[in-house]
Amino acid sequence: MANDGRQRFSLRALTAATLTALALAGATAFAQSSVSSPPPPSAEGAPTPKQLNPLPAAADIHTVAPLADGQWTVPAGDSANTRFSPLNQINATNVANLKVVSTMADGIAHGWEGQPLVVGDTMYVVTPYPDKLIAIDLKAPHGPVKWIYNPHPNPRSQGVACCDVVNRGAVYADGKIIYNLLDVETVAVDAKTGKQVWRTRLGSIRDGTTMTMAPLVVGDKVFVGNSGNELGTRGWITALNVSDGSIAWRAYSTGTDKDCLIGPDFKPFYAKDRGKDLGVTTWPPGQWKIGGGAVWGWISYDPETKLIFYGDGNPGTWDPTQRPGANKWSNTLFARNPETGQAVWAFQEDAHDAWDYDTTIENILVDMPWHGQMRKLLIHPGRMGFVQVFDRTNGQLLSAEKYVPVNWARSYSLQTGLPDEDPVYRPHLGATTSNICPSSTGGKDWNPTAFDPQTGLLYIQAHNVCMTDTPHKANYIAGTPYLGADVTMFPGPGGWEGAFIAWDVAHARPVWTLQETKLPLFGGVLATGGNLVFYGTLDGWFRAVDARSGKVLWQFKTSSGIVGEPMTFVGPDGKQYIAVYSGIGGWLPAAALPSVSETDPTAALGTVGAVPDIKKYTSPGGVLYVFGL
Amino acid sequence: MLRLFLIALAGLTPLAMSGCSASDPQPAAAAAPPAAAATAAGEPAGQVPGTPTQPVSGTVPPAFAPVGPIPGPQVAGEDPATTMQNPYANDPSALEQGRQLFVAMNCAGCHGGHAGGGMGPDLRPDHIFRYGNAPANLFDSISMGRGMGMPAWGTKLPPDVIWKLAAYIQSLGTEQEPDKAAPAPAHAPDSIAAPSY
Repeated sequence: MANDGRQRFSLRALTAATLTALALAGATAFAQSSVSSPPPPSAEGAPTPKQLNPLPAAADIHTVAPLADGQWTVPAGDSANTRFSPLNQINATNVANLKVVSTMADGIAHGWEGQPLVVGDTMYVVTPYPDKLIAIDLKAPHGPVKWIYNPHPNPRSQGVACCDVVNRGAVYADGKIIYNLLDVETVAVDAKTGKQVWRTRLGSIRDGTTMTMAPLVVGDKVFVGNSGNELGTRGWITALNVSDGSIAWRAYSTGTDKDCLIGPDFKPFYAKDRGKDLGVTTWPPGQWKIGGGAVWGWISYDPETKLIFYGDGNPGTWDPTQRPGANKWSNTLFARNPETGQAVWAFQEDAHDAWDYDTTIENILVDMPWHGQMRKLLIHPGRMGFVQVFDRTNGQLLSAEKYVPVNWARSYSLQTGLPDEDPVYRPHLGATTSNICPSSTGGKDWNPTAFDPQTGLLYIQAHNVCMTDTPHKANYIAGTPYLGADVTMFPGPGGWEGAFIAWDVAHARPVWTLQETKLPLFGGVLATGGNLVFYGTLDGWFRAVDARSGKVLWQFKTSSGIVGEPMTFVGPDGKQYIAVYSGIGGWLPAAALPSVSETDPTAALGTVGAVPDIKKYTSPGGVLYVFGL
Repeated sequence: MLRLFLIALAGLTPLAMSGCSASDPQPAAAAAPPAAAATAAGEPAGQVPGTPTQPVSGTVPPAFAPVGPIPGPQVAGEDPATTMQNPYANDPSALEQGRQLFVAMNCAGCHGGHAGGGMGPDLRPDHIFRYGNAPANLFDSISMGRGMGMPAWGTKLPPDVIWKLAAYIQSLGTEQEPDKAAPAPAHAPDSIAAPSY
């Protein structure tokens, strides 16, 4: 399992060690796959899987970027965003013995999104605002702190952050830990000494811009993007030179083709995305300057096609009547050349968005058979409620199937790339539109899935939330919300709140689900070579699940709700560990914070109505947990 | 009356709350010629006669006073900030205006559609106000801004407008609260969307 690039996950390509573990795990999995068998003692009270379809047959699946095989240097473990690690010391046969080996509180009562990095014998964690970087010595017992880098971002940035003062983590490259600050700066810190190497200002909170996303590095460039679609920001992705933090290029999400780095290389697959200066002409005059499209999610890189992939955010305001037109390039998937920033293809998910269905959700890159032919795929489990599969070489939509209850659109046309919208569920100024599914928070939000190349399954932590939306005219006042809608969210059809879904990518259907009745799911997923999948719940349970059967094999109640992303690494002692942040906060879980009232269902951009009793189940306070055998 | 008032407010734009460079975008709607404007000295236009004109800073002791008292719970009568009344308290039409201003000036975007919090803190009565919730405290917080991101509206809005916003906040959770939030349904009807797990 050398970390040398492309890897195959047909069974015959697995190493002997993995095969042994798989055989053991597989036997266990299939023996336990009946939902009527009792749960292991360590998982009592956990949900039991509901089998919906058979497991897909073993397929010839190739990962496209070096996997995380001991260290974790990239936010998603690898640049293809699989969040899969081949490590298998901890596996389905022994996970019941998993125990806490270390904890560390960050002293911050805000959502702890993101994941730690492990480079060599050091773990690096980035906290929510004030965005501290803490280096932890993995050689010493229980992980003492080596150093803390405190960047002191502008405290007023807290008042401009739409959805809690979160940070989704750092990336490692060239001896530096690189991450973003809420007050619109990117910093590089010497991984050994904790001293700042460079610090670059990329914008200003004065126009409602912040930064929360985790950067990605390709070669000598690091890619970062902004946040602030609810405050009338203008979205961009920016490439900085890793060596000195100077800006190499910036591509805006709105404006002229020149500003959007759209030139001769740009060949969108569908007619709907072709035309000159669409970032200007699909807006009322001047509106594109405050039109959103911030790039606040995950970026992927494919070393084979040498392209970066990302989606940008919703158009502002949430009142669509104020911005007639397709509002390009909001809610758009882009493929770009990382060297020049030039766009290669684009796919706008929903023209003239009326629901806040940001396209910033992760894109997972994998090569696998598709209808009998090997294809280079991009998997996009979108906020709009569909899992989409694209040909990542050209932007052709190959499949789009609903993974949660959806009614804003019936389907996507593979011929035109357009959604077949149901006009009943499209909000307008002067009307209240009820029972739109999913809500603005989506079938899932930014919280990333994991793809296991051994099973061919995508593991989705979904939520079932719908909304009532009453748009109103928004006044643009720089540095304040440019929102324009009164939204109330509530649980969707059936009344259940969340589901952990094993999604068969090849057949575009769920295999099994673990239903959450009380609270939605809003954290990330890790899949491992040990036939395990890890995820956390908003009431603080951290679970290990059999990757094939969905059976919960182990769980641990952490101190707060989990909105962080689990990761795994090999310590200096040669043993495998699992780490995750526990610390409720962010957008959908905001009602758990003391600054949000459960008596106003429209609070926190409408999310409170979906989780009115969350304070009964959890309270904020970030803690890093490290588990081992 | 309210319509005229909101037009006057629109005339106060551009309202860059955290600073505004010359290149900041000016949407067509907000760039309308001012119907009323603040003077260069910051004197408010459209003043309602007989209303207070100065922000209240009763928590700052006079320079000649001894240091103290020892910090602790304030007693009514001890501090003018706890006794000063809102001239618009209990005035239904002012509360209604305060509610509309709360939405129009983007307070709702931060503090929640009905002031239950979000980007900015909960302002409903179950919340503990870091800077106090006596009428004068509310006036000061709106007028001067606060360090974690609350903009200073005192140079943008005339005092009577700030008092109306404060009156709306004082009314939250009472019978007088205008335009109360509709409760969220328990869940969406089972028939409206699929798939269900």
